[in-house]
Amino acid sequence: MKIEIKNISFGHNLGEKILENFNYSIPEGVFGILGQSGCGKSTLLRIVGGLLRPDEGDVLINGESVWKNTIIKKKKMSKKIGMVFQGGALFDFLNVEGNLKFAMDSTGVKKEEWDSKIEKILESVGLDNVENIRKRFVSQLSGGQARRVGLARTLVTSPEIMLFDEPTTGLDPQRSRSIIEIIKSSLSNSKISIIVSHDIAFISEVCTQAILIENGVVGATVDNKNLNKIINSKKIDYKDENLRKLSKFIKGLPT
Amino acid sequence: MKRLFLNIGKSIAEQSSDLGRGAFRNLGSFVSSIWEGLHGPYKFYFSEFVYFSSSSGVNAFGIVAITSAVAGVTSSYLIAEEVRRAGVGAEFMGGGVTQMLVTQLVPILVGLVVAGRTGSAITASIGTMKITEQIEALKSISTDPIQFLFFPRLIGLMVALPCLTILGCVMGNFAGYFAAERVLHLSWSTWTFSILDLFEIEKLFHSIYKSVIFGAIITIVSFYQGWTVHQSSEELSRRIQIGVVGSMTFILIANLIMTVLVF
Repeated sequence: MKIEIKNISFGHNLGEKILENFNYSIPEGVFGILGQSGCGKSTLLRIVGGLLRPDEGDVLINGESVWKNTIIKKKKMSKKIGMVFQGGALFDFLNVEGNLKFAMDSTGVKKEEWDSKIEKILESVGLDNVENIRKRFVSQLSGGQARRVGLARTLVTSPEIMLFDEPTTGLDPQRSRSIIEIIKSSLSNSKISIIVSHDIAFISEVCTQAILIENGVVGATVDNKNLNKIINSKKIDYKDENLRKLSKFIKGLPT
Repeated sequence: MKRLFLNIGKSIAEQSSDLGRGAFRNLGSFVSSIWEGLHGPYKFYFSEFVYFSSSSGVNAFGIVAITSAVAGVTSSYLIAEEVRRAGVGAEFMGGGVTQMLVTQLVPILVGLVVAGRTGSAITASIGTMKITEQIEALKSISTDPIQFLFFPRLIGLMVALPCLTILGCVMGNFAGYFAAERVLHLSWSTWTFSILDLFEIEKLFHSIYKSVIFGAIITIVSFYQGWTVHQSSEELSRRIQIGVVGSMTFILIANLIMTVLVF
């Protein structure tokens, strides 16, 4: 499986481009996207996930177009992709169980599997007292619990491609750690996972490859080995431009 | 077709001011979402439709009954006063008041009341779902948000509004009779025979057709305002106002067009 991002351009306002002629090919594995706030990381994730139409360009998943395909094929393709949102994005008109059942119903999971899957998935995302939690509405959940349920809602549909939009932002270190552990254990279920995060340690821990978005294009690319090397070193002036840019970005210097 | 809409939107947007650009972009995105919603594996969310039509209908029952009754009493009282002064025309009271209520007053009043009550609720709920990323979450689990959120509300209100209009006509008529009875001591039979003599039943059907269109106007305008909210709750409150005022304005314009050109 492979995701090809071809000539993607996007701007929230006309005349202003967040992504411009963006090209990249994402292979199987866990892929990280880094960049400063507002550089277009989450926008790119939404375009790849079929949630946000680009102004120009296309995304190909295994050679099949996401944006230039027929509506029927596009809808079929969306079943392969699951997205974990920053705040959980749970449906507030349903309780926890309702959220999971709705997701399973929409993605074609057999009805007889629902109950066992709910039980299993809620336990796997580290929620205690599952019997009590599954009847709660979104307003009765803490921020951390809502994220876990949001993660469970995506995992329960077993997508081939998983997209994570800043899954640890706004959580205290303890909760953040536990979410990272859950994500790590779930990554093997999908063929491609794309993680957008400001947490460089998290990206270096789980991703086989990462890119830095800069001025609407790929500013630098790095593999896991080099990313760990940059994080653990004070050096900035690498000969390789990719490493130099990433090193400066990680150390908070202008790239 | 979808491409055509997008291209038209894009080319107009390029020629327009910043404000116009945003509006055309929003409109293009809304139209293309509706187009997508009409395609592919179509699922009708019947429980959503039942929930929405019953909640918007039943919950508006009280305010519609009161508004229609007040309209009935007021119009009947004013006409009855004139009839009493002139000393003629009491036998036409029932038919006249009913005609006025059924053809104009009740459908417009019900439309305006529902635009304020249900229309604002539609904008608020859709806008909140947009801000909290629930609409994107729907897409991410392969649920077409238009099929799930828009069509049940559209059809729900197109069913609920005629029901409320019929209820309003009945309430207005009874209330009108009581006012006429107080001023002119008119009997129930005189009132009823006047209605049977003068009132044309097709006027009631015209009123129902109108309210179906008003239901569609309220849903489309209010849903559009919620759908195009971007990121702030302050924007949402502004959109709710625009949605209500827009729905009311379009209802009045549509009523004028239908009264003059169609019915």
